[in-house]
Amino acid sequence: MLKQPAFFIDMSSCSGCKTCMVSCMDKNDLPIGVKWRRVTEFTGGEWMQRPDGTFGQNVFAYYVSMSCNHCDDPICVKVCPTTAMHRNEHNIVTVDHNKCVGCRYCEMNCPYSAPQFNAELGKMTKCDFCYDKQLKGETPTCVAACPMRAIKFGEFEELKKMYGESQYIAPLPNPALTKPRLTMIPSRNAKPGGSTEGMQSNPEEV
Amino acid sequence: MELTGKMTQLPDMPCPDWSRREFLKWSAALGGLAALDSGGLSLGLRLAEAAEKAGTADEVMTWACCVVNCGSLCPLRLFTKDGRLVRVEPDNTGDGPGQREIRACLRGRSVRQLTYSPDRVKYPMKRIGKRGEGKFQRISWDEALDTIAKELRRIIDTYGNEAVYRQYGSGTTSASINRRNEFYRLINLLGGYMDQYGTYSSAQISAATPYTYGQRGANTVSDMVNSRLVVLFGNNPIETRASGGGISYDLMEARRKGKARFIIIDPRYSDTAALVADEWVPIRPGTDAALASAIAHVLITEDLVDQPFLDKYCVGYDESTMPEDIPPGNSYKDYILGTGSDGLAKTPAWAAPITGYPADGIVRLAREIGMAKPCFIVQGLGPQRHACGEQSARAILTLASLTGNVGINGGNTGDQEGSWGIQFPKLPTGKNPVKTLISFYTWDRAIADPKSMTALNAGVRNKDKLDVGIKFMWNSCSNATINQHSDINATKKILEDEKACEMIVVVETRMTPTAMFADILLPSTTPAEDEDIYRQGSAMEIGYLLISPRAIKPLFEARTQYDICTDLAKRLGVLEQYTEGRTQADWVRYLYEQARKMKPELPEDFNEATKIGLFKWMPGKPKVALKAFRDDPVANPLKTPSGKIEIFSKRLWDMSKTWELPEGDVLKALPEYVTTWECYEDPLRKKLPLQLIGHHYKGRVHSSYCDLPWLVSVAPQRLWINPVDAQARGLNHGDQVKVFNDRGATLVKIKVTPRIMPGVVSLPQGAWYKPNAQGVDTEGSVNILTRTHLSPLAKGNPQHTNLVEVVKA
Amino acid sequence: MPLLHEWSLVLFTALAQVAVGIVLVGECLLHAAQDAAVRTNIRRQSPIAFALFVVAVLISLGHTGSPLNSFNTIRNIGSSWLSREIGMLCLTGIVFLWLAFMRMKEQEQAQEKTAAGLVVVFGVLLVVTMSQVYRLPVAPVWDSCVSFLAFFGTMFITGALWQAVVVSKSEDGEKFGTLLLVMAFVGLILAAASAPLGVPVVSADMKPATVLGPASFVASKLALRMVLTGLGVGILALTLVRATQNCRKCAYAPLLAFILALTGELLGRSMFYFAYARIGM
Repeated sequence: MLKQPAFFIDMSSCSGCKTCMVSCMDKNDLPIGVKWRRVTEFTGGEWMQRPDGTFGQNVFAYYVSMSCNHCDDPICVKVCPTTAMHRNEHNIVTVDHNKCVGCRYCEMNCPYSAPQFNAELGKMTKCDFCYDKQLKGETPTCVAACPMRAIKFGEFEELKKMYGESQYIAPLPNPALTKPRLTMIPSRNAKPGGSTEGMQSNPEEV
Repeated sequence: MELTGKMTQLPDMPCPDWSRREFLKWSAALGGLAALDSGGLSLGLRLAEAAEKAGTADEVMTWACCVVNCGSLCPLRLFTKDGRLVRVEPDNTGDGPGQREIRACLRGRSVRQLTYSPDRVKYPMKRIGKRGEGKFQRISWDEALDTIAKELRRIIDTYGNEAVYRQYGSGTTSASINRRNEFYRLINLLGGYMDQYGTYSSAQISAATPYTYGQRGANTVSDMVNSRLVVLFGNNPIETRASGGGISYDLMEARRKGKARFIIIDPRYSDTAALVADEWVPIRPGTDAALASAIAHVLITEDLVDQPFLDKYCVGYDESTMPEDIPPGNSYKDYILGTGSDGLAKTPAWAAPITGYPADGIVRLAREIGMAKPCFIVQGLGPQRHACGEQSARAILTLASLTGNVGINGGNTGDQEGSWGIQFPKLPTGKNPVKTLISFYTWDRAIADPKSMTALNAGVRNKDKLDVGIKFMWNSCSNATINQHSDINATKKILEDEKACEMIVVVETRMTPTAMFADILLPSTTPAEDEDIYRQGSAMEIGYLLISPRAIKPLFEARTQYDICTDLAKRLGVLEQYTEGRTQADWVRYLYEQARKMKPELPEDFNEATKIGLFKWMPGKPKVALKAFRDDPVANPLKTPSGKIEIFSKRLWDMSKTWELPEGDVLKALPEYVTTWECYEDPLRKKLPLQLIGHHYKGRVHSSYCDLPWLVSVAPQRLWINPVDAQARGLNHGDQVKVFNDRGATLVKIKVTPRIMPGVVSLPQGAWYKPNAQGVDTEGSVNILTRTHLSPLAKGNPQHTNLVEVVKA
Repeated sequence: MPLLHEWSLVLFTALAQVAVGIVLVGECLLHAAQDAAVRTNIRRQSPIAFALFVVAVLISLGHTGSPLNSFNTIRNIGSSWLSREIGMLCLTGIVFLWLAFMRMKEQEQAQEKTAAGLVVVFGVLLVVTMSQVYRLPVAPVWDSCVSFLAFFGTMFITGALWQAVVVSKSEDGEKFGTLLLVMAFVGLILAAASAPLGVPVVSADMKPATVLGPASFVASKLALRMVLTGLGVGILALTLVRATQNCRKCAYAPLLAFILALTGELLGRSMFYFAYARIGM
């Protein structure tokens, strides 16, 4: 098992197909509404009509796929009252269902929406990096599923050497908040973090 | 860290080295954990639980296939436990040189919800009540098959075999047995059936392209690595062909490895635009030919055309290559420059108000196309699926000739991207004694008013006119009858007349809108419940053979189509000829043997082959369409009358004089822009100001995979509308609206987005029609709004040409 | 329904603060009260307040998905303010039970003062931890002193107005008037200070699904809350200007004042939760 498992997303190859979302739902039998991985559409741009009836525009859009970054400084672990949210011995942030009381405080605190409340269980659930598969030498489901090979995983230190630290790109939150173990290649259209040029435009899908 | 925005070559990630020792170490740890204190115990329990879910010894893996018609047809690995599907995983046979994983997209990954959908057709059903009411009574298989056999016999005896029709359907496309062939095979033993030509996908381009090139054909996507510029007209493969083994992946790779700039021409900023476009050129639906003509104007007037190419390989560009008996002023150059019959120069200033794209932008675009050597011009199936869509298709093709890009690496014919595969044999169907063909799109008229259909007015082929209409209609792997065909309200009326079409059989897995119109409804199997042998589709550069055993027992009383047809064959006295003594399993084996004849490297032992399951071949280099013609046009003429590329088609010139077309429809020898009913210039826009298209959406494949909860949660049905149009109507993102025109209305929620042009709305096609008590559809089924109007040449479907209005519901 | 959003947290936090407020204000009154009947009246509020406190805690379980695991919630006092809050809930509850038990008796007990003092101290610490729970770096509208101002405001206002109902009927009612009014006004000022801070500012980097409604909606409801709460405090002030003995109609004024103020505070609390919006994805 990797010492510091970390995700890598190549936003410049992400087509927004949501295969990662659905494959995760299938593998984990997630009920509707519980989304361990979420693909957000970030869209912006305006239209301008000229006097001759033709249009100019500066529309852009890109997709960002996010599950849980198993952060170095995880807010969820810090604030969980029961210690149900913890970093396990495989260095994965995960929920102990024997302790979780379903207060959703972790959900309020995570700027990535990683903790997802499962109403059927009455407890929090989240991406567990498919560590059960990793222990068997297999690849996490979303990584194996992505048709564009845009999601990969590996040792955080090695990924950082190749791709640098986690970046503050819209719509991601500032990585200084939780120190996510996430490396990335930004989209060609990527806007800087906090940018007002676009907005998260598919709330009903995440 | 600086955002470079440049595509970097992604090195292959080092996969963690899972030595067996590692694994054993953790297995021992698992056992030891149980002894720890309470905190450790809960952790240990979690791990054990996880291990069980991840795949233990009692799970069985079976290869299967996603069989729907996106063209990609991805392999799937189904995991079952205790006879139940528990998980779906993708092709994991590895990426590398000459090797590509054909990873299924979100649709194939939903196959568990498809299989166990609560709306599965469970038992054979007989209609009680009126057709379309959806009132059924459960009957036995015997009664169902007896009824069908009796009716089929009676209809053939009374009306002849031309009265028998299999409805167009592509819901299963990759299987070799349970696809469409099993019915064709049966009916050919009983005298045949009236067949169809054309498809809802590509009718106009398939009919029109042979008049230009003699055949269809295009370079494959991997060839884009050799291009300097790639221009996509109405093409969205990143979403419509999202397979990880096919066009989407090839497009990304070509972009990464090549030097091309990518321009997307589309009323929508599609996912393809989002991912690869260096520039988005939004134009109004149906105006591709206007844009192409204006581009041609710039190319001609700025001396950017490849004159030697046009002289050597083409007919009709200018007077020097026109056919002899055509009066002067009818060449393509005449049309573009305004020296032709309409006296109108097709300048960028002329095209700008039509397309909505500024004239200076058209000039820039044209110069870029003219100067990029080579330029890969490609169209999807969007531009052609319009009123007079044949014109758009040919107009785009012509750009490839004007710039001399046909038949070379990095260029293209302008047709939809090509593919590569191996045509492994399917279940043989025998010969159809009936030669009469109708357009796939005219079945409703062939039911309601067959005697009015002739070769000249409705595209009847191999016969002057129809004598008898469709009396027996077999629907399998199809939701065309009600849902995918145009003008649902009008089509319903035709079907409701039980004296017109006397027998409708629907073989289905789920209660689709078409199933609601069955007289006899038969439950059929999904891929997991089926055994078959599959091969690649038409949207990748990989050939594969996939042996798929049955993963689970058929649900309820579902049966495979082959078994159904076998039992019908028995009742109709052709059992021996139908089965040739083979069960379905025997056929799989037989077809495997036939495949081995084509590819002797396949294992001799069928059982060994089944264990391996998936076999792949890759061509190793891109395909260049019409290369032989380009290399030597004399030795390798095209299948056109002149043997050359016919920008001016004499055949179309002649047909335009004899074919009987309704007012406003035209056949043109040249790829001209024509205005049509419900186009941007139609005065009807005063009442219905918005142009409506129905883009193909990641939430479904046509109407397959509709309403599956996981898919709906990530890709719900929404009407796309620009913020300007939404604001003018007091609408906000997520509001429920009524979309309507004179043909019908539907209720649907909206996605307010700048990713679609003002004045244009798009309702993703394929949502299942569910009318309320007032007859208004409630699911956003686009065909409640489309018009059944045969396109002039192909007699095909103009389903993207519609005018509507949208109001808050 | 916006007003029912997070109803269990609204009721839990508000009622807990009412309970603590009752005891805190009550202790101040007891300091000055000499009349036995008055003292008995004030003392009797402690078990009632404790009952309110228990109800508040039970309602808080309505916010959890798996209440049976509740005993785990004090395991992370080391780093979680929520765990610390629950820890304080327990400590406060224990001394509150003790106090309630003693004050149900007619006779004043020797240890009552200690117990009451502990309830006040722990109670105030409880409200402090409650306030800290909401200082989330990811929720800009809460990442200020808004929760402190609002929660302590509620505590003072409802504590004072409740005790006003209790002592208004007694002969010494006027004597306590000033004290009660001062505490009520302190609470009102805190509440008023919290109101503008409680209006969310939606920024571009917020997760859209967490933005529940327009800021104008929250602002208007907070204004309404100030009106209701202010009215309550105002009516209390009025009852001190007019002689309560001679005014038969005014007998119910303190009760009306409390109900108005409680309604206002509950409205304000529900807007506090409604205004939550989180940055990020």
